[in-house]
Amino acid sequence: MSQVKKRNPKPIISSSLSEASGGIVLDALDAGFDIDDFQLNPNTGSPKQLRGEQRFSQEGLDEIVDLSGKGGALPGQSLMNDPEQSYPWEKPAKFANPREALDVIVGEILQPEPMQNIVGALANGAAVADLSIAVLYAKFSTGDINPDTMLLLVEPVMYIMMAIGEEANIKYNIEGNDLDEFDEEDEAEERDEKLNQFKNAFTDIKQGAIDKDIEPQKINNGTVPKSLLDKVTEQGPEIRSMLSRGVE
Amino acid sequence: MGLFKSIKKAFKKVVKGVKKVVKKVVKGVKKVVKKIGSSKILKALAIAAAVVVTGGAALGAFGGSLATSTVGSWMVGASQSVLGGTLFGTGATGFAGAMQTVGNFATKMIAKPFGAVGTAAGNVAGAVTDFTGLTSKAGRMGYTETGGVFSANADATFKAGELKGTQLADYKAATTGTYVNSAGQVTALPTGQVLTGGQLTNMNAEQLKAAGFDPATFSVGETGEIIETATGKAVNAASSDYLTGNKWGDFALKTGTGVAASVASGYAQSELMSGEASGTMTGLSNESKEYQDALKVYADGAGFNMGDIYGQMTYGTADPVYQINSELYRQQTVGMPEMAGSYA
Repeated sequence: MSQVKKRNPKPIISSSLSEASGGIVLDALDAGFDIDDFQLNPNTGSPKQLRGEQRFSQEGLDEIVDLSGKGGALPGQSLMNDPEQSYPWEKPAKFANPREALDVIVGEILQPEPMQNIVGALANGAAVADLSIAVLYAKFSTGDINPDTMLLLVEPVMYIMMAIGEEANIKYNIEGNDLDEFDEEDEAEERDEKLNQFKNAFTDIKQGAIDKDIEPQKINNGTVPKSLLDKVTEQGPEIRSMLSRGVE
Repeated sequence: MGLFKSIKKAFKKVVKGVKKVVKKVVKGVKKVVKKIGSSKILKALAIAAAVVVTGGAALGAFGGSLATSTVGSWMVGASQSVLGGTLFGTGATGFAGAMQTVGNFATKMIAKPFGAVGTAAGNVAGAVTDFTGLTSKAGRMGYTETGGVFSANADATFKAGELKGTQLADYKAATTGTYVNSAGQVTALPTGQVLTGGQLTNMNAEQLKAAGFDPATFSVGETGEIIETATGKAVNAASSDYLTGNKWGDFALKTGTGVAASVASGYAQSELMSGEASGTMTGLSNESKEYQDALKVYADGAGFNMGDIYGQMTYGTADPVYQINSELYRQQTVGMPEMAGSYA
């Protein structure tokens, strides 16, 4: 299936990671590489072994209800705090440079213990977006990054989590419970494609019959068995009315 | 709206945006490649993004064969170019020369900030695939086991770039100063041993001599460390004066990953590359009022304010920071055609 290499891939640069990586994949394909060339381990290209299905947990729901029942902060509550003892996120962030923050956070994620937890969480149905946000929010609340940096890092951290999920061969949720979203789209596309093929074939037959002005009487007796020709002559008006209906 | 509510809203917006782009890319790829499953595209996208984010270290982190493929080599190409392979200079002999080689080799790996965590990360993610029977640990690590003897896969070599022909297992082991022991664990390479073709052997007299140790005085102990034969005391290689004689080179070797994390900064690069603490300026010295470093050149071209540089996260295989040592900033940009007699 591998294609012949046509040219070297072009350097890509973008302010959006999705666009940059999308550009890399598209350019590589355009350059003649195969999509399978992006597999880290060729064997993991086989169907996903683990499905990260979200399951209902009464215990979890009870916990959330319990937490929300405790109520939020009163309006102006933060103004009553001692200015000397401000929250970590009210102080200057430890990392002002998003690049440095990204290095540190991704470095921490790629440690054995967090990786194990992430793989486990993805396999248990946690969404990539939720995990990424949890990690970044924790970093924000401890004063490591400011809210702007936090938002800048959502995308790269999400992709790191996705890569971990892919490498662990887990079918994971990206946001909420969207495990089969892409598969459903694939199925719908396949259905549409087949329908289009059928429509095209039908149009071709119709057009071909009109172009060639085919009539049963004109067909040589030796070419088609007589019994079949009789059938066509018999059902001729019906076939014609079907063809004249066209594609609906 | 309070801070936390707006953060929550912004999160949703960003996540939706990411998903939207992912869908767009999936559709884009489907237009190019017919009859391809979305999961395959998603996988390629996630891996490409992880490679971009980690500057190529994700390849080393997860193991597998992508690091040795043409695409893989190309994806880390930009990151490798920053490392140049001459961080510690060339031409020295003896132990300094050997360390230059190791240093330059190591730099190719560790200058990516995540090189140090790579193997461990791969072990965890890979362990899941091992568990499911899709991969084997030996296969992922780029070596094969035959009767308890581990050797590098002959076919697992880099197919492009500076490391063309280098064996993956050798690269992984040598670049991080580690090797894969008989239990399949990655451990530090003893000072008196060398890894050849996946096999760990004690240094012979010649190798000891080449490393700057007189074989008459020094030998390799039972643990594989270089020892002073008379006393049996291990020689602390890190504290010996084997280094490049270059302040920044010494610093880099001693601090290892510390440098790896900061090496992406143009300044550190310049200092390390120069071979002298004073360093040389990189970038574009033109006739404008101020000297433009590589990032300023890029910022000018891209049309954004340098004061807002940290707000501009750029990704891809042509990151301006990684371009600092590329030919782009060294090539002759203005060429005057010879016009004989024009102004005579």
